[in-house]
Amino acid sequence: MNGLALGWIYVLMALGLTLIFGIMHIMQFAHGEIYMLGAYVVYYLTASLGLPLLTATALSMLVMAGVGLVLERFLFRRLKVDWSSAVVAATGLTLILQSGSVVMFGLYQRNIPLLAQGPFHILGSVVPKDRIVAVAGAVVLSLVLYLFLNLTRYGEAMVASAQNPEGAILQGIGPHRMSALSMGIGCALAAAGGTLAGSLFTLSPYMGLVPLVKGMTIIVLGGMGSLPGAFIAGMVLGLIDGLVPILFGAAWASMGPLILVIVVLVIKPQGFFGHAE
Amino acid sequence: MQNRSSLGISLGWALAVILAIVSPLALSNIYWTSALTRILISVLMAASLRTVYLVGEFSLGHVGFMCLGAYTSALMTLKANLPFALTLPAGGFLAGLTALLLGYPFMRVKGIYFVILTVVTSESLRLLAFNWSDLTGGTDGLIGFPGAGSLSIPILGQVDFGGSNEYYYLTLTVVCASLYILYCLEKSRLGFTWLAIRETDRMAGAVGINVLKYKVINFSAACFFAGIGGALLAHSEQALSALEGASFGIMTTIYLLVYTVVGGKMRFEGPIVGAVVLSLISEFTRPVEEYQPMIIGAIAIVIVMLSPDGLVTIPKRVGLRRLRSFAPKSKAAAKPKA
Amino acid sequence: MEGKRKVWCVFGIVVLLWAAFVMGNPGVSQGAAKTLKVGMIMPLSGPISIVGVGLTRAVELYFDKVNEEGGLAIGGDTYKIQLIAEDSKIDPTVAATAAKKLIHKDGAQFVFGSISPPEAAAIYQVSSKAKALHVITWIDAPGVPGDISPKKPYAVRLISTSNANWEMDYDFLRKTYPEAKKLFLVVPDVGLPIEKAKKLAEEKGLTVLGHEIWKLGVEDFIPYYTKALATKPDVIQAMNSAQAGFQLRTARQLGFKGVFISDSPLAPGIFLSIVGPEGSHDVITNGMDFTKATPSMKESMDRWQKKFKEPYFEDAPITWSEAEVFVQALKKANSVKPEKVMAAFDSMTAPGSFQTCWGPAHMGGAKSFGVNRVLVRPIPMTRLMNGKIEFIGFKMPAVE
Repeated sequence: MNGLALGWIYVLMALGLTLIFGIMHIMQFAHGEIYMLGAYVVYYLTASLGLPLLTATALSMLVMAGVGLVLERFLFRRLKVDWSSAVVAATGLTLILQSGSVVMFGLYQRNIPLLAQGPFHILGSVVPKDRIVAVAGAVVLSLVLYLFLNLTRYGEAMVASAQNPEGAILQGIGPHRMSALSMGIGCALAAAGGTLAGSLFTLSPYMGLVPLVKGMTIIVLGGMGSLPGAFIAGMVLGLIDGLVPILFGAAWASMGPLILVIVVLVIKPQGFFGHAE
Repeated sequence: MQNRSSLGISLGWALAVILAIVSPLALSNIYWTSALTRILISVLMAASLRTVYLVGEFSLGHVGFMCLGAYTSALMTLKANLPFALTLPAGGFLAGLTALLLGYPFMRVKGIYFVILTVVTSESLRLLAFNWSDLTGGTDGLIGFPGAGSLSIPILGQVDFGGSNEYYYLTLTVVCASLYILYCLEKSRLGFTWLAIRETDRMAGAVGINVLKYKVINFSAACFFAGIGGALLAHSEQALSALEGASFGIMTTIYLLVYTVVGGKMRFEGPIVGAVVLSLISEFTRPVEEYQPMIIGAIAIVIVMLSPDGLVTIPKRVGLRRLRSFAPKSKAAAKPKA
Repeated sequence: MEGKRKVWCVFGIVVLLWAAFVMGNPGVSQGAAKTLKVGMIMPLSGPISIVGVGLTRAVELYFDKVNEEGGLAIGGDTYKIQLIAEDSKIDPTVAATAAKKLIHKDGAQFVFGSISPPEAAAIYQVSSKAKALHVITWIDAPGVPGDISPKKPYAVRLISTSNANWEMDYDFLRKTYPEAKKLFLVVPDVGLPIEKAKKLAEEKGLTVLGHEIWKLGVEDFIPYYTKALATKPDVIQAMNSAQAGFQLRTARQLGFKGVFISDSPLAPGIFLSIVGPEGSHDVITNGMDFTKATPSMKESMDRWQKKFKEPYFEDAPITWSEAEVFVQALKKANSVKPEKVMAAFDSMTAPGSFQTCWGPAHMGGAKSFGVNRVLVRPIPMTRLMNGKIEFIGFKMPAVE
C-alpha cells in the first residue's frame, strides 16, 4: 500500500524519460538531478519566500521545464548525432549538477513542508495521509499528461513524432520544437516527482540516483516509448519491491527487479508494450 | 614513413612501460605506490569497458562485475584459504560466467535498453552483496582478509605480495597481461567479427554470423576482466564494502565511462590514456575534493562536444589542420607533411 | 599512418604527466620540527557528508584555538597543530588509501576517523603497520571489528556508544512516565546488543514487546513502524539513528501518540524542524539543548560562526571534545610519540582526568573490553514537550 506512493513517483520519472527518449532519442541520464533540483527549488521557495507548497511546486515545475529547454537547446541539440556522446554528456551533467548542488546548497538537512498531517484509516490498515496525497498528485499529473497527448495537436504530434519523426514535420511542427517540448514536459514531471519525494522523505543532493535507476527499469519493462507500458510497469515494480522482501527476505529484495526484467526481456524483448526496433 | 611511425609507437609504449616499472622505486612512498596501483586497476577496467563497445554496445554495469570478482576472491581467500593465484582468476571466471549466463537474455536487447539493463544489473549485484550479510558482512564489510600471500619466484626468491611495491608489480603484470590479451582479441578474427557486428548488425547476421553468440562471448570476456580488476582492488587494501556510496556504486560506473570516452573509445589506447590522465587529475585535485566531480563532469562535456572521439584523436586532428594550412595551391600536390 | 604517429605524441604527453607526478613527489616529507600533523578521515562527500564535514570542522576549530593560544608546548618545543582532512567516501578502500596518504605522504602520526566500522578497521590496518595512533571518532556498536580491543595497541575511542545511554534513558522514562511500561525497539542492523537492552529494560520494570531491525540506507520507515504500532506500545525507542527525527515523524503520521526515545546524539532542534510542533511531544533524546551550552561549547559555536557560513552543526561538540581530550593526553605524555600518548591515555582512568566541554571525563571500559580505551564523558538528555525543548541535564554513560 505504501509502496504505491513510491511507485507512482517513479512512474513520473519514467514518463519524463520516455518522452525525452521517444522524441529526442537521447537517454537523459541527468534526469535524476532535475528531480533533485526541483525539490530544492521548492525548498527555497517555501523556506525563504514562504510560499505555500502547491504554488511552490507549480513554480518549480516551470523553472525546471525552463532549465530543460536550456539544456536541450545548448547541450543536447548538438549531440543528437551520436547517442553515446549524449550519454556521456548527460553523465557529465549529472556529476556537475550533483557536486554543484552540494557546494551551493551546503550540506544541511533540508525539509519541505508535509503534504498532509496524520494517519488515514482504510480497510483496517493505517496509511499516512501524506502518502495518499502524493499518490493523488502523481495520478493527476499523469492524467493531465495523458489528456495532453491525446487531445491536443501538440500532444498528438509528439506521439506521432516518437514513432516517425517526419510525420511530425508534416503536421507543421519542427523537430526542434518537439524536442524542446518533450524536454520541458519531462523535466516538469521530474520536478514534481522530486517535490513529492522530498516532502515524504528528506532532501539531499544525492536523492536523484535511485529514482533514475528505477525510472529506467520501468522503461525497460514497459517498453520504451510506450506510456501505458510505463504505468503498468511502474505498478508492477512497486508491487515487487514491496512483496519480495516480505516473502523472500531482504537479501533478495534487489534481485526482484532484475529477475523480473530478465524474464520479461527473454519473453518479449521490447517490453510489455514496446514496438519492435 | 611507416618505419618511423611504428618506431615512434614502440618507443612510446616502451617509455610508458619503463616509467610504470620505475615509478614506485623512484617515489619510494607507500602512498604513491598504492595510488599508482589504483590507477592501473582503473586502466584495466576502462579497457575492458571499451571492449564491449567493440560490438557497438555500452555497458554501464561494469562495477557490478567488479564487485562480483572482488567479493569472490576475498571470500575464497578468507573462507576457503585458497591462494591468491587461484582466487584471482576465480574472481574473473565467476564474473565472466555470470556475464555469460546473463548475456543470453541481455544481448538480444540493443542500444539504450541494454545500457539500462546493465545499470540495473550492476545495482542489483551490489545490493545482493550488501544484503547477503551472512556471507559478505553487510554493513560491516569485509576487512582483513588475506592478501596476495607469498610466492617463490626463481631469481627473486621468496616474494611477499603483501608489501606495497610488490603488490604494485603484481598488479602491473596482471594488468599488462590482460591488456595484451584484450589487444590480441581485438585484432584477431574474433575482434573483426565483433566490429562487423557493430557496423552492420543485420548484414552480419545475413552473412551467417551468429550475432548473439559473438556478442555474448564479447560481454563475457569484458566482464571476466572486470572481475579480475575487482579481485585486484579487493586485495590491494584488503578491505571491501558494498555500501551505497562506495567503490561499487553508480558513481564509479560513471567515472569509468568518462575515462573511456574522454580517452577515446575508438582506439585501443583511448581508455588507457583517459584513465591515467583523469585519475592523475583527480589525484592532484585532492585539496579541492568537493569540486572533483564537477571538474571531471565539465571535462567530459567539453571533450564530448569538441572532440567526440576522445583525447587520443586530438593530435591527429591537430595534424590534419596543419596539413590543410600547408596545402599546396597547385594541383601538383606535394607529399603531405609528416 | 600519420594518425598513429600522433598517437604516440599523446603517449608522450601522458608519459610526461606521469613523470611530473613522479618528480613532483620526492618521497616522504619530513614533519617540520614545529608542526604536529594530525590526519582526519571522514566521509566528506556522499550522503553523510553533512556529518563528516561538520565533525571535521569541529576538530579544525579546536586546533585553531590551540594554535592561537600559542600552540602546544611539549618537551621544550612549541608545536602548531595542522589538521589534514581526507575523504573516505564511506568506503574502507578509500579510507585505507587516505590513511596511507596521511601517514606516508604527509607524515602524520595521529589519525582521527571515521564513521563506519569497516572504515575504522581499514584505517587501523594501515595505521598500526606504521605504529601511528588511531583515534576512533565514532562507532555504531561496541566490539565490532574496527573498535578498540586489547589486541590493538594503537587505537583509542573517544566517544561512547549509544547503548551506554540506555540506562539513563530508561531511568528517566520510569520516573517521568510511570504508566508507560510497554516498549518496542526499532534498531539498525549494526550489531547493537539488543538482548542486553531487553534485559536492562526488564530490570527497570518495562516489558519489551518486540523489535524491528532495519538496514542502513532505508528511507522509508513505514513498514517497520506499522509493525511496531501493531503491538500497541506505550514507548518506542529508535536506537542509534541519525534519522530518528524522520522516524518520529513516521510514527506520528501513523497515529502514534506515545513516548519516543532516541538514544543518539541527534539534537532536539532537528526533531522540531522535521516533525513540527504537533508531533514534538513526549520525546526523550540524548541530544544537546544549546540554550544550555557550556562555556567551551559556546566557544566552539562562536568560532564556527566566524569561520563558516553554514549554521552550527549540532554534533560538533562531539569531536570538539575529542580534540580537547587528545590535546590533554599529548600534554600529559609530554611527547608527540604515539606510544607515549597511548600510555598517557591508559593512565588517565581516574574520574576528572580530562576536562571536556561536556564536563569531566576519564578513560574507561576495562570490564567490557579488557582495556581502558573508551572515553567516558557526560551525555546530555533533553525532552521535547509541546514543541518546546526542556534540558534535563548531563549524566555519565554506563561504560564499564
